[in-house]
Amino acid sequence: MTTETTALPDGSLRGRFLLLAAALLVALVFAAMAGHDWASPSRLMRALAGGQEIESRLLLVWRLPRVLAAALVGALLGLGGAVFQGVFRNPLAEPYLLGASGGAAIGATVALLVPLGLPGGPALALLSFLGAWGATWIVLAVAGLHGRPDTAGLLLAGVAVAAMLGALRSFLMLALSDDTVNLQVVLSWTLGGIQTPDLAGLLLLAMLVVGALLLARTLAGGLDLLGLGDEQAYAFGLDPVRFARRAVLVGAGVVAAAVAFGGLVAFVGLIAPHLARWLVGPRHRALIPASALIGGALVAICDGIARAVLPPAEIPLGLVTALVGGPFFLVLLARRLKA
Amino acid sequence: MSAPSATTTGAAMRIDCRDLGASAGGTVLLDAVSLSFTAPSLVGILGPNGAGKSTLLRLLAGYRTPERGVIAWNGRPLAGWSAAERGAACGYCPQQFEPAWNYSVAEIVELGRERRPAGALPREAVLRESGLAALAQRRWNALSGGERARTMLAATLATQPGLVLADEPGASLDMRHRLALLTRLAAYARGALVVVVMHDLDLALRFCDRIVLLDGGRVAADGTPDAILGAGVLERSFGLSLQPETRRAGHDWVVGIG
Amino acid sequence: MRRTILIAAGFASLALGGAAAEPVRLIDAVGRTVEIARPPQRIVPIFASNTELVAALGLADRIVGVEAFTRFPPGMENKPKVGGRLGFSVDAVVAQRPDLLIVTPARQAMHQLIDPMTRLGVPVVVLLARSVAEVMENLRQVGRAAGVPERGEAVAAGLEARLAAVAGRAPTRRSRVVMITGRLGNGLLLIARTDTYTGDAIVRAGGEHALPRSVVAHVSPEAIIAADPDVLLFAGAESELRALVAQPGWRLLRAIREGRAHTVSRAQFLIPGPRTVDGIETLAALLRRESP
Repeated sequence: MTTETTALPDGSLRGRFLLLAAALLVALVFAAMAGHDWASPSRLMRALAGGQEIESRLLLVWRLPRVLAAALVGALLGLGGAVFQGVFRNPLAEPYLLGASGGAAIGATVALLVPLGLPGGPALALLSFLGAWGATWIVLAVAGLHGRPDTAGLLLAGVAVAAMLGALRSFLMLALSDDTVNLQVVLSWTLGGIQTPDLAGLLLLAMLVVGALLLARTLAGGLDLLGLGDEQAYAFGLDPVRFARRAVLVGAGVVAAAVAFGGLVAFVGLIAPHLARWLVGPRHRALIPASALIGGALVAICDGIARAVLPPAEIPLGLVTALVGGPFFLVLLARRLKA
Repeated sequence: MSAPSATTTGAAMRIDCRDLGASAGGTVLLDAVSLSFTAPSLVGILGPNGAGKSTLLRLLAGYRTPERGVIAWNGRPLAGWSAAERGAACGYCPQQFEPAWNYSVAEIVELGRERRPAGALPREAVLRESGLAALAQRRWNALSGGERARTMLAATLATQPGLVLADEPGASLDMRHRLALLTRLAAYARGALVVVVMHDLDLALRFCDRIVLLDGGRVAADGTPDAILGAGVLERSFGLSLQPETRRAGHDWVVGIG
Repeated sequence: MRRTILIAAGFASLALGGAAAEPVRLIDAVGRTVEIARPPQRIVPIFASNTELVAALGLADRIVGVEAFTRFPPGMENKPKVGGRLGFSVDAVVAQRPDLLIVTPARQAMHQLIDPMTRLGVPVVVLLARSVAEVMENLRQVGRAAGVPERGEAVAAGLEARLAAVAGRAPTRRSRVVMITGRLGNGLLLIARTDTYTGDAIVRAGGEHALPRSVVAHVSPEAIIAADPDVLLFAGAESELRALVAQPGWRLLRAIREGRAHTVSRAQFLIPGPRTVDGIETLAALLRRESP
């Protein structure tokens, strides 16, 4: 098992969190400025002050909610990633390990290609959420067929279920699409991307983040214990298998919510907890909120890049996070080899 | 470490196990083991490799369920205890521990304390009594094997549990620390039930009130150190001929020469 | 005796083959030289656009196989299907014993069919539709391939005359137009690009593109809203348009607030065939009404 060093000597935790909050703010400002046409800080101020020209109104009504939504989705991903890494005791664990992405993609495919008569936007979010979370339930059921599963059993079941769901989703995409455009419709969703939410959507997303933070906080102690090893965790008063199941469901629910609003965004759930652990240490009471802050900043920045690089088109958010994630892991590798 | 105060987990702990049986694969690990332990007592579990010592301790701790037989703590079947109750009442220190994250010594002691925050000693006191005060902020990957072992034991004892189950806690410690460890455990056992799996024959004979000798999954002997020595069971189980020597006053350890 | 047989054969071939007894040789849109030995009687046009081209020349009864999504002209749904959403079946095509295949390079049609068909001796003509002018030329090309060049010329000329009439009535001030042709799952929008026949059709109808050329086909809604076109067009159903403009930000468009957002027929603007001219005429009338 890898144990990474903490970069900075133990100092004030509060100081670290202030730093993270400041980083998030900078990220939000950057993302608000970025886009198919760059908005100077003065334009931003004018928009916030209530300017009536179309550029200001567009900033306020379209771009700002999108930036906030991106940060909130990133917070969910960071949070979910921290929970998953805690449950699997592995800094390389990421939220899509247990089939969430396959399930979400199936839900989205059905929502986008089957005329269900439901209102479009909510249907997509709801079905992708149910797909993501449902897939995790399936994995838990499969893993538990022959007794109480440990984390290795969960992983195996996750790989199997993800493979089957992936095949099913590809088939559905082909079978349900009417012509080429519709195949692209679903594929674009799987590459990830934030859509500007309306006020109700934004409020819902914010409440989900708050709820997720509170829920994850209750898991913090157990995740710490789990990190000591199954036997030691047991010795310290935890039922590792039952707790792992509960934590997995919470983590998967958080990730499913993120996927419902932002599609399949890779690497954030992997990088954010990594960076957070480096900054605030391994105890989950601090790690989880730190991971949420970092995830929010990351996705806000990547969303800004996605909108700014190829105007008037956008690069799918998932591609940007992957392009950022790759070099990150090369840096990690270099540090490991040096140490 | 001082004897546990009155805030330890209630009345004296007792463990009863009857007709325990466990196996793995096709191998029988334990067979028809029936034992009873009552506080206060320091019990040493000895035996050659593969005798089933760690398996027995895991069963007593409830980490593993026996295939046959029952175990009861304080008269209540172990299966009826919740994980939290077990964690609060018992200090179980397994043989191997490999944390996934780079915890500091202080953080691990904290995690140990959180089993029963009400009855736990303050963190500084725990660190001081285990001689870890200087290492409090050191991270796991910067600790030696002995320091790691002492940290885990400190965390285990931080809540002053009425029952302590330790699996070779001195394995990675040097002689001086091993001696200190057993001295502490003996003192602690004046007010609690401490069951330790050990390899050090001489320390076991010196400190334990009672020795249980396991051999081939069965109880080969069970009694006071003198009784065990007298019966010659040790030589039969370990396949060695032993020369007992009395330690002279003023010396810490008897060392065999030649 | 041999002379009698030769003369009889000559009369027979005249009666059967009409004027096009010699093989037709033409170069298709991707530069392939195609040789068609005799006027094809069993044509398989892949894609709805090619079917409409063939039907426009009055050769609908020579069509023996269509792709699953072809619905125009009425009756085409009953023709045998040779492919659909999952690709094209060489077996299904061959089962119709075609003597001419007309393809457009999209959705694997070109790769899946050209090689096998050529090896079987069935001529394949590839058409591209990069502009309205090329669509007109395709009519002539199909006419040539089918052995009725004069009919191809006639149909094309008639359509071009209608286009000229529209051009003659073009408004002096062109409306800035954005036509949305699709919506992706991640919120991005597909629009009619300037360098496609759909984009060309918009310009011929008297419009002007509000968005500059873009590298990729899908654009951010923010770009469309910021461009603030005079007229917003949506190739699809009214209900879809309403769902789209209910999203945040769209009400900032003058075109939405002042009622200049309209749906257009997908068949007329997204199938490069004779109906595109219908679409241009309809759109021209609309743009004249909304002219600034």
